[in-house]
Amino acid sequence: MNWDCHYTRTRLHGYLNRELPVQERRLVGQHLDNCPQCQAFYQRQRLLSRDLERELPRFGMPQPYQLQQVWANVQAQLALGALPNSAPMPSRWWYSVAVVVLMLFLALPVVSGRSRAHMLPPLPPSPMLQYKTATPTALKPPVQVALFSQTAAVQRAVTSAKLYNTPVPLPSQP
Amino acid sequence: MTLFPEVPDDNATAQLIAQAVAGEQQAYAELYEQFASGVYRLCYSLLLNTHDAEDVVQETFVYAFRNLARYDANKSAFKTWLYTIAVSRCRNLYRRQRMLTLDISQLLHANLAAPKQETPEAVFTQRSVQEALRDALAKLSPTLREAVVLRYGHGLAYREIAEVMNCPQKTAESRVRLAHKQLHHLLLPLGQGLLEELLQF
Ligand SMILES: [Zn+2]
Repeated sequence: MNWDCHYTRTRLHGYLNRELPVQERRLVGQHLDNCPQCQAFYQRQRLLSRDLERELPRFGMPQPYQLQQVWANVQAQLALGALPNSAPMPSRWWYSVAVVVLMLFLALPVVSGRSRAHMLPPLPPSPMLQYKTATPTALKPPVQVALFSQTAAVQRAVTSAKLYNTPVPLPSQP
Repeated sequence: MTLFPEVPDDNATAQLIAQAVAGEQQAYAELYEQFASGVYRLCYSLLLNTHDAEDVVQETFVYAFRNLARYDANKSAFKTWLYTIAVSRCRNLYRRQRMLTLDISQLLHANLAAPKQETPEAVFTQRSVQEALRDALAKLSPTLREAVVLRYGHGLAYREIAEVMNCPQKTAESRVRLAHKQLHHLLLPLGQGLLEELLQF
């Protein structure tokens, strides 16, 4: 194969698809007119190109029922996928609200107990203060009162806190 | 190019996409109707297997519709965007397909008697043009198959082929050229008559 044949054959594909610059196209065309071997080669290539252009667009053409089945699957998958796409935000939001509410209710006995204990009438003086001023024998009754009244205050607070806790529609605490 | 039944009008497509993004269900159905056939042909031509092609078409549209808001018409045509998604999914299957083919051929060699003595010409004349094309495509490497199918089967420009195949345009051009050359060698020994017969359609 001489240089002209080589030049032509490396450009035949571009020539077929009209992709060559004008100058190259002219040279290839001139050579094809004068070289029977390259002309025959070109005709086969041209045939193949036309063949592919004609046949490949109809290759693997689907049946309508295939596309309908796939479409049904696509719809089903998109409908399922819509749930995780839209659900997470509200559900996470509700979870955080639920956690805050739960923490408030857990804290309620302590908070209400303390506040109610503070709102009770002052307790009798503590034993340590009494110890300085009074005799050891005089300590007993106030200490007992102090302990008793403190327990009663806490008990009342807990009872009232339980009232607050009853309507909570959450699972019972562990 | 000649026969591309599913080439839609760009403006109409843009309008459908806008409607779909706005939540109109009918727009999704119309987009599917316009492009599904082309995507299926592409997938089937690359995978040469009906079941796999259907799976990839499904995956492609589910992905595309979920990410429709991200599609940028200034960057690529909708068809090119869909094809890019489809080709990347086909590529995930090539390796698995090769392993399956290997298994089947081993099975056949183990269980079947020696093939009948038939001349290639005799076998060939009984087969349709589409079957001949199928066999020829199957003998190309996946890369060359992609190039030639996108070029001749879907009429994409080299710039678009490069985009879909994720390669430089010069590479896309040389792949189409190489695929053409290999198909020439694959189809021509089967008979000049075939090529001439094709032109009678
Ligand atoms: Zn020559």
